[in-house]
Amino acid sequence: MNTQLDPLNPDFIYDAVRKVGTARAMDKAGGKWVLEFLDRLDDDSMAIELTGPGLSKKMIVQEQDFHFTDNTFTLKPLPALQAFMHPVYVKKMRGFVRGNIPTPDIAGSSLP
Amino acid sequence: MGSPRGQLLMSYFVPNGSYLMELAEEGSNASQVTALQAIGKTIVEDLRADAVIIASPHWQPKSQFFVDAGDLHESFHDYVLRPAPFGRRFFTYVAPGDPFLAGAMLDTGRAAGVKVAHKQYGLDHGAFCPLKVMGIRLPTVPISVSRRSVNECLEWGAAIRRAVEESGKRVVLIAPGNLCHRLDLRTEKQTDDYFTDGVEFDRQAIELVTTGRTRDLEKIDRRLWTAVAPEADCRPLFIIAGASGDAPGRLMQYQGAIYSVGDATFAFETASTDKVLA
Repeated sequence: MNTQLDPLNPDFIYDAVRKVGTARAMDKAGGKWVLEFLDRLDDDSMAIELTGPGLSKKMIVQEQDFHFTDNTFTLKPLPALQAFMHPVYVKKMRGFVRGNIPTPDIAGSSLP
Repeated sequence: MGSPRGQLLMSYFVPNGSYLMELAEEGSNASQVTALQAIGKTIVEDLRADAVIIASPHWQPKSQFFVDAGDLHESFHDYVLRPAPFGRRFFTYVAPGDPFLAGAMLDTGRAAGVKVAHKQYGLDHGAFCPLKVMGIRLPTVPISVSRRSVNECLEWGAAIRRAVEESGKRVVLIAPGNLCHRLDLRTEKQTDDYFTDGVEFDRQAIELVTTGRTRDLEKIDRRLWTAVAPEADCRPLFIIAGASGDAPGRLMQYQGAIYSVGDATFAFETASTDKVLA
């Protein structure tokens, strides 16, 4: 688990070229997971792609499908996964789920 | 007998770049910083505001407008924590909420047909950076700058003003944003000129805002609009236009020379209700 704040290796970034937010997390067994937010739809539901050990799945989720603690998130469609991130980036991702558009890590010609 | 009539004292359009917190901490006399500090002093000492409403240009949901009606708001980091030019230092901010004012805004907005709901959100840097540099810690209502139409922004702004007036409170609206906002072209080299399209867009925008024609920003040539990608498509200014009754903005400072980011600061008095109804 990432317990140190490492600004050079952020757990959540926003790419304004692709218009995609990307979270990197770790499960209890040390497995690495990537959650990409591919699109925000007009009703604020989100198209995501979750990739981890033995799984790669695209789905549409709502804000209510996420549960956040200080350093984890869980996702209703995949209840067995408890994904750990640094608290600073959990909050950043939680904000993104609630509609935040961050300053981009990869700048594009418009924001979002 | 009801409570005394509330008042939207002023509205402000201000920069929100996270670098402003660094400059303020370092004691910079950059005009963007000193203007924010002057606004903070005015809000506390001259206007004696009871509360502020802060509309973050980085809170951009699509379905409707949102109001955070919580009683405490904590910042979160939605800017890049890396060395300059692409990242910034770690700052935090906490403000008390104003659930009563937030509730009044939700009620008034819905009564006016505006799509608006409560959502717990907190303060992103688009909200907390200017508040922190201003040095104020008043009861605060964070609201979104959602991806809605210009007309909806104008209507929501007008509803906010009515809610304030009916609340009996003395309130300031702060809607941060930048004019030109091409972060991909930004450079910190002091010698670089501001790019041509940015100069022209910002010139036209300042002319419109300072002459009370803010809602005409959407009529600026679309090629120019696309080239400069104004932050949140100027929606913070449209919300202010609705709230202030199309009041002209007084340009407090403007910097567009170093970055491809137009840092303008405008102050808007609130037009009389007669003008709003006219």
